[in-house]
Amino acid sequence: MATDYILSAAGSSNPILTLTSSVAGDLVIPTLQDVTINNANDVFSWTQLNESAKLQVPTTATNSISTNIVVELESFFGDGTATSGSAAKLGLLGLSTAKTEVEFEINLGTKTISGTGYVTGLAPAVSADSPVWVTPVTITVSGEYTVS
Amino acid sequence: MRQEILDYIGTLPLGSFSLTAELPWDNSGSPLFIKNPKRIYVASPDYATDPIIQTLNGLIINNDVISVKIYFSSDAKTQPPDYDTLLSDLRTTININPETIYSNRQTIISKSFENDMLVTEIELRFTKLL
Repeated sequence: MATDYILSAAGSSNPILTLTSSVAGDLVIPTLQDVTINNANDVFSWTQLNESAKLQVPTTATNSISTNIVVELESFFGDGTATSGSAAKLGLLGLSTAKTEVEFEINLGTKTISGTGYVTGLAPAVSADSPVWVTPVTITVSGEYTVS
Repeated sequence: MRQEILDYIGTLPLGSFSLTAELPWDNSGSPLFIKNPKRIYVASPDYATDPIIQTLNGLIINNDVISVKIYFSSDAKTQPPDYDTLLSDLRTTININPETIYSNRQTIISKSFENDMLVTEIELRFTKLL
């Protein structure tokens, strides 16, 4: 039996989420708490008189990356010294408000999953019980994932 | 922290109670606050660090909890007339160092009986992010 699992213990170098816009200047998200790679196929189903259960085929998929991060100043608001228009300069908030198309790459260590999409779903929150700003981040993926 | 608490309690009107700079136990582990009633003892601080947020790149944000206990005893059958006032005043010790931002300040009071004495223990917990 194969036992080639992917270990992502806290402190290891993976997974790493990198965002790039049309201008050079990568934005690496340093404070990921969790990452979910969603690939949800739509399904077309029909019934036939000779079948006791519905028949189904997958159609187009809706892909997205969901993550929760600890809000860190430079990655969230952008690095003021970076090249104008780059993901590093815009930061997550700028990429979301400007609706900038980004290329994303998630490095799992031995594999990389990449694609293009848009940053959305930001909802930074803090409370007296949890006095550190955290936010969900969603990347709605346009098209398919590329695995390399 | 212990010295700051001692200094603060020293400014309170202690009534028939007194404050000592000694630790609450002798070197055999016997509680001095039982032997010496109506004397207020402040123990050394205990420290605990609890991770509250962990990230995949190794960043860990911790809660640092400093806990200090105050002990004193009084007659279990006849409560000193200034006992309630003393207890109310000692509870305000949790507000020392207002310029230090603690995410949580907590006071826990517990009572027990030992050798005809009412032992009052006040635990002060100061929590801040690390």
